[in-house]
Amino acid sequence: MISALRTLLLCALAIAMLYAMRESMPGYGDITAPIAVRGAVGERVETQDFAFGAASVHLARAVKVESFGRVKDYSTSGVWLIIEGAAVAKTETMTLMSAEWQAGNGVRYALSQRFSTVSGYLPTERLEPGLPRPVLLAFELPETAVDKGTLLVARSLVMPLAEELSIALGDRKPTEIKPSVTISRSAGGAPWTLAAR
Amino acid sequence: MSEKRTFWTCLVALIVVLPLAFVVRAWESLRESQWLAIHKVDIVAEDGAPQAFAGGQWKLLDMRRLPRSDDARIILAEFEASPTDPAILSQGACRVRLVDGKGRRFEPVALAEPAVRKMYPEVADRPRCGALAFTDAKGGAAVRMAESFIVPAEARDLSLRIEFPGASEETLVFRWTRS
Repeated sequence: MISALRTLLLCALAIAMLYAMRESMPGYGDITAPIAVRGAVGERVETQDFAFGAASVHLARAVKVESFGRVKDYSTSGVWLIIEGAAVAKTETMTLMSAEWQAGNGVRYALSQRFSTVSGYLPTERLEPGLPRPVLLAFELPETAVDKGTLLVARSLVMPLAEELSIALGDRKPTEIKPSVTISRSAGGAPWTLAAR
Repeated sequence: MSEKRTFWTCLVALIVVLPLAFVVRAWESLRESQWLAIHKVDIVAEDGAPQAFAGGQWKLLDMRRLPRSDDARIILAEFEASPTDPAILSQGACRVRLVDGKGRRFEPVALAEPAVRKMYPEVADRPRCGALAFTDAKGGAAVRMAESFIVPAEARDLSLRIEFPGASEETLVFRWTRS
């Protein structure tokens, strides 16, 4: 009787263990997820293939883009998060195709496609090894997604086990949301100038 | 065979079979990995020496260094290929890269830089390396091609790497020690 009970208990334990292992098994996406390299605003963050630094962060209700004498208005029902930074390739010519904003609750927002014609916009900027380039990033977000958010930058979204920069804003988050920010072409070092009104 | 002996035989077999099963399943991935990959052979040619490669006789004519900005230079590489076997040349897709002494790999720029157009307009008009460049080649006449690269001003010990997947498994490397 005791022996039968012991066998039953062992069986139940084995089933429970197998179930727990099955439930906790990471999916293919988790196994091959990008490797996070953490950093902060204002510092150069390095991966094996590239380095990126976010220099300044702006929040605005509207963005104006001045190009060849014409002004284009970009409005939003949320808020524009604009990041100025610099990027450099280290080993080979590349373009950083993936940039996302991860809100505090884990929701990810892709880089806005609306500024792809602005020179210096990250996914359009070709990076040569050893030649740093100023880059611009813009996200269209609900106001609640800005707080405790993280900027994620990678070479591509689909590269398994590649490195991904994870840059937290921390206390460098801008406190006020400006009514409007103007991005215009510049002849100097950076391909654009940014002015808040 | 006694029960005890069967038990130990099975246990020993398990120690051999389990790693073997792992290797068999992962064989393809292991073979593609960096350590076990069969390294392709490089054919190295120094300073403009002609070299047979991918159905042609190749030669690096010149590698010019042109100004671009304070920290960047344009490298204008001019090379030619005399087809010896046009059928092989038209099969492959040419891939050209510039590698510096630190091992950094530079891809060619798609459009000729303004400085190249201004200083060497005849070179800027040359075709880029590709099957298209060889379609008009007549009876073994040399096809002159040009590619330009943007490199940091301090980049030294440059070499031009030409790959022709489809036509050749090897890589042609032109080392340039002049200038």
